Amino acid sequence: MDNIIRVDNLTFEYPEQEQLFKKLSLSIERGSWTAIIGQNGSGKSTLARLIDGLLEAESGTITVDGKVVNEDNLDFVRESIGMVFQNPEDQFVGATVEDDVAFGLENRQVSRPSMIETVQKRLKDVGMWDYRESVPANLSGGQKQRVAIAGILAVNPKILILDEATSMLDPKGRQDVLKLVAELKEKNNLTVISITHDIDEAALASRVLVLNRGKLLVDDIPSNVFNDEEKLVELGLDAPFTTRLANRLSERNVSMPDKYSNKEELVQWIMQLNSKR
Amino acid sequence: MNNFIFGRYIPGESLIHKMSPQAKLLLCFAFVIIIFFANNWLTYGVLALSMIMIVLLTGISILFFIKGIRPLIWLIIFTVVIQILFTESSNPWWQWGPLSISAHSLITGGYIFMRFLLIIMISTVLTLTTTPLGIADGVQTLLKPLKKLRFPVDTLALMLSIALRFVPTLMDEMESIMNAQRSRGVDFGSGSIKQRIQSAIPLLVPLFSGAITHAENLSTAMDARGFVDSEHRTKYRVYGWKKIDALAVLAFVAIFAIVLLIRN
Repeated sequence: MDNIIRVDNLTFEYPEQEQLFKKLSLSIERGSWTAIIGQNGSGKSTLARLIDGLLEAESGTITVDGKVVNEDNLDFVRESIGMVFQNPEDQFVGATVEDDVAFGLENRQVSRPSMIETVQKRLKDVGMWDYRESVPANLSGGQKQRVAIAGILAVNPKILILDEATSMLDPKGRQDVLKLVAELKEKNNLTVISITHDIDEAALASRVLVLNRGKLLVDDIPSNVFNDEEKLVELGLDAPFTTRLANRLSERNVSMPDKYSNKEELVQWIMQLNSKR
Repeated sequence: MNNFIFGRYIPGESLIHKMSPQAKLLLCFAFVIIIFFANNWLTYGVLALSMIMIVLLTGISILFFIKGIRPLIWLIIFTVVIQILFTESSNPWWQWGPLSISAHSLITGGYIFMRFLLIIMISTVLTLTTTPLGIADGVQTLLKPLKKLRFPVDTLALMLSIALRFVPTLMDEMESIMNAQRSRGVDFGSGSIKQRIQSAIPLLVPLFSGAITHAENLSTAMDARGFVDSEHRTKYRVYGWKKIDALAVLAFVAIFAIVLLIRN
């Protein structure tokens, strides 16, 4: 198996707080979509920042695409990983949409003609080319996140980390962004890590990690994780809507599939039940 | 406040709009210097005529220019009156202690008035036809020579552009904080000065703490996007020196030459 990220025996704590990670080990496969879920303070965002070298581990090693994350390899790591953060306002550096997409390219001292080409291509990829001259104040949260994604893709990362990137968006903006990420993942062969509170977002992944106070409690495919409503509640998380609906229905003696199903599957199931009557 | 900073720019397609910001900024300074060379009615007449031409070229309604002058009207009147009253003359029409009015003092008062008017008009032309970002970029270009003295021009420019970009964000936040505090009974903008200052505290504290959070998050995001320092970067946005800029410079040289020829 080709692991693009490997975390070995990671130990980390914030100053004057209790130890967060104690000998945490995990790996992420190249080209996969992994969701990391957990309550506030579970360490999911911290983990992402450690992987990107934005925070320094106390001990243990993190390897990104074959190179150890340390001071010397920081440029390589930042080049390999693109991060979309939670607050759309706080990652919009440029004065206008096109300036913002160019920001990462400017940092890497890309020549102007090739910047112009890349900015245009990436803005078209995320469907924001028509807004290239807009200022951030005139954009919705979802549009700003799409611009942020364009800016990140402009420098061709291999890994895209969504750090609660959709949590401040309205449902429409959230769907748009997630659809875009899924599309771009296929097109650019990205490895996606989405850190999220939103179970429906996590359900898009091929693998779900549940963190609790810095410990990796669950590592499984989404359908196994999300079907266990009791376990999820025990971990302080919400079960997805479809699981809750299915459980309530089976309490009323309606026969339900015994594995996790997403919205479409559940709708299909219920319609079939209806037609059998 | 929002209008004060952003409402000034009026989008347009005029020749003046199309000029590059650094040329406009430079010529704006040049015009102010030329104004100080004027010393008779003829020179002021030439400058006023040029000003009218420039205003017409912007294609912006004269009302916006009047709006630009209005906040400064008391300062102008005060200065002009002082100038008239304190200018000494050999044959005053009216005298009271050190104060006097004469034909000469009225004329110098008139000059001062023209000077004010022209300076305000030319700077209003600049702010009405140039985006705040354009002005920031213009300042950066004009400061470039200071780089030789190790003055961090690029850092300053990046700071300026980020500051401008966050103004609307912080405005929005201030609005929500004000509403939140109003709903708790804080009364903004009434009562004695002491009360008003006190009511600003519950507004400023959350605003500042919010601004600091923004700054922290932004710096993380900049780090993650490979930002190291502002000196080792290429530039996406460049303003070339255009034909229209060269024409404008020529026109200003001509105005300056005429003023030098006909001044006393």
